[in-house]
Amino acid sequence: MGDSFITIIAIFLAAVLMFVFPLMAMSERTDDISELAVQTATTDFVDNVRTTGKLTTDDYDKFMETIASTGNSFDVDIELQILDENPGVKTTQAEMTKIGENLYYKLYTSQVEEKLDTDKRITLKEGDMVSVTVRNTNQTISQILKNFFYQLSGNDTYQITAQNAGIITVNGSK
Amino acid sequence: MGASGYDQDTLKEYIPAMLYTMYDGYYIYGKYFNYTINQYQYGLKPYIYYSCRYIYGNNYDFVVNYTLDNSITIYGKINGKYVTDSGYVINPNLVGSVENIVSYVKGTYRKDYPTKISYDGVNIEKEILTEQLVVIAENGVAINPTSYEYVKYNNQKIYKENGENRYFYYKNNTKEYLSDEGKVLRDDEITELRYVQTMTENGHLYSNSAVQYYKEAKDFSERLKQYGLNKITQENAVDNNGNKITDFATNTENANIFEFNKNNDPLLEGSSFNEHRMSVIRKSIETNLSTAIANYNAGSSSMYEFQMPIFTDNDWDKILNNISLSVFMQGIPIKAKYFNSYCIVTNNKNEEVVTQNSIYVLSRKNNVIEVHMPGCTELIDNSDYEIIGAYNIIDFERQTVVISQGDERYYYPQYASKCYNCIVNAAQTYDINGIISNNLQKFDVKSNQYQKYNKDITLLRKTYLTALARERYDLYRTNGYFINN
Repeated sequence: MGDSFITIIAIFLAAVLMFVFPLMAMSERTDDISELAVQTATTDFVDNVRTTGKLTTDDYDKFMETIASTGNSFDVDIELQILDENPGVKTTQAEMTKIGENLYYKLYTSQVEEKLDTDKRITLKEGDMVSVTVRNTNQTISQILKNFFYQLSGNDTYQITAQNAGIITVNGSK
Repeated sequence: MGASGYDQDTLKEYIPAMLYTMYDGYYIYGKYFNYTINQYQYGLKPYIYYSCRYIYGNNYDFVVNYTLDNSITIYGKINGKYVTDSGYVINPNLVGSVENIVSYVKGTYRKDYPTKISYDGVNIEKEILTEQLVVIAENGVAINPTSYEYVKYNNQKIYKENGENRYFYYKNNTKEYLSDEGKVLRDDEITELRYVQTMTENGHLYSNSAVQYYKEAKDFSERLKQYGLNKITQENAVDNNGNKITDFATNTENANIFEFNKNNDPLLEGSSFNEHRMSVIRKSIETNLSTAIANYNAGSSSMYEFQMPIFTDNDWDKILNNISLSVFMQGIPIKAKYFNSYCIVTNNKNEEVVTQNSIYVLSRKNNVIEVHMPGCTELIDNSDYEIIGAYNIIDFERQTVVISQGDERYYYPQYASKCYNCIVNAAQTYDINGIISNNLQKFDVKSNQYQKYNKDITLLRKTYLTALARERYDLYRTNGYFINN
C-alpha cells in the first residue's frame, strides 16, 4: 500500500519534471522570442515616425500585422505629444526652462486611430514626440502554466511588452 | 555615452566621414594624407560646389554651379567666348516689364529703383516690412520690443526711426545711425543711405527687393537664351574626365534644361530644371562621398572595409532640400558581426537658404494676428482671414538680448501666435506648387483623386510670391560676386 502510494507520487513527480517543466521553459523561450520580435517592430515603427515626421495608415497597419504575427493579441498605446510654442510667445520675460513655456498637448490611441481613419495620415513637426507601448492581452501558454502552478500572476499582468519613444527630427511632408 | 571604452578617440576610428551640405556646396570631414607631416590626419576637405560640366559641340564647354534653390552660376566657354554669369532662373514669359521706377538723381548721377512688376497674373509691388527689436538705450535700459520698418540692402538690415526720417543699423542691440551729418560715410553706406532715402515715401520705408528679384531673374534667364544654353540637355553633361554621365538619378531625357517655359518652370517642383539640378547634386555627393569613405580604408587600422551606404529616396529627399549633416559609423565589432549605421539631420530654419517652405503668412481675423503656412486649409478655405504679410520662418523664432548677467529679454521679430491647424498641429495643407502656379488641387474623397479647386487666391499668391522673392533676394550670398548691384 505504502509502496504504491509512493510510486504514484513518484510517477506524478516524474511527469511534472519530465513534461511540465520543459514545457514551461519552452513556452517562456517562445515568449522571449515574441517579445524580441515585438520590440524590434516597435522600435522600427517609432523610428520611422521619428525620421519621416508622419504616421500613415499603411505604417500603422503593417506594424499591427507584424506584432500580431507572433500569435498573440496586443494592446497598443500610442501617445503623440504635439509641441505648442504659442504660450511662450505671449511673454517677453521668462526662462527657457520654466514650466509652461512650451506646452505639449497629447493625442492618445483612440484619437490617433480616429484621425488615421479620416485623413489616412498624421503629419508631425520637429519637436513633437511619439511614444508607443505594446502589451499582450491574451494569456500565453507560459502565463497559463505559471498561473496554474504559482498562483502568482493575475489576469492583468503581461508577459510580452515593448516600449519605445522619441522626438520627431523632421517636419513631415504633406 | 555612459559605456566605458566608448570615448571620443575610440569612436573616431569608426567614423569614416561626415557630410555637411550647405546652400551651394558641401564639405566632407574625414581622413586625408598630409604630405607635409607624412601621415593621415582628420580634417575638413575643400568645399565642393554642386557643379556639373557640359560640353556641346566645339563652342560650348562650361560648368554650372547649382544651389538648393533656383540660383545658378555658370562659367566657361559659351559660344566660343569665356563667360561668367550668375543669377536666379525663372520662366521669363511670366514676368512683365518694370513699372513705377523711382530714381535717385544728383547732378549727372542717376540710380533707378523699380517698384512694380507683374509675375504670372499678380502684381509684385514695393512693400513695407516691419519687425520688432529690443534696443538697449544709452543709459543701459532695455526698451521693450518696438516695431520698426526696415529694408535689406547690401546684405544689411537698415531700420527707419518711427516718425522720423532717420535710419539706423541694429548692432550689438543698439542703434547705430546712418547719417552723413558730421561724418564721412563709406561708399557702401552712401549707396545704402541713397537707397533708403529714395525708398521713403509719405513717411514709410518701402522695400523693392521682390521687384528686383523678378527683374534680375528675368534678365538672367533671357541672357541664358542669348548664350544659346537652351539647347543643353542632360546628354551634354560630362564628368571631370570628359566622359558622358549616364547614371543620373532622374532621367530627364532630351528635355532642354535651361529653356524655361510653362513646362519647365524653375520655381516648381518636378520641372526638368529642378529634376536635373537634384540629380547633379546627388551625383556629385555620391561620387565624392563614396570616394572619401573608400579612401578611409587606407588610413584606417581597422579590418573592416568602409563603404558608403545606399541612401533611401527619403534620405536623399532630406539632403537635397535642406541644409544637412550626415554622419556615418561603420565597423564597430559586435561579437561576430559589425555595427553599421548612419544618421542624417536636417535644418530648415537657417539663413543659408530660402526654400518653398521657408515662408509663413500672417493673417488677421477679429484683430488677432496669426501666422500660417502658405497652404493652410483654414486660411484658404475661410475668407474671413485677412492676409497682411509674409516673412521668413526664422523671423518667428525667439531672439534673446542679454542686458546683464541673469537679465535676459526675449523678443520675436515677428510677433504672432502660430495657427493650430497648420503649424502647431501640422495638419494637411494645400501643395505649395499649386499656390505658385495658381493651380490649387484638392483631394476629392469620392473619386479618390486630386481635383482642381476653384478658389480665388490672388492675394495669397501675391503675398507669398513677393515674400519668397524678397527673402531670396535679401539672402546673404556668398557667390554673389557676379551680380551687379
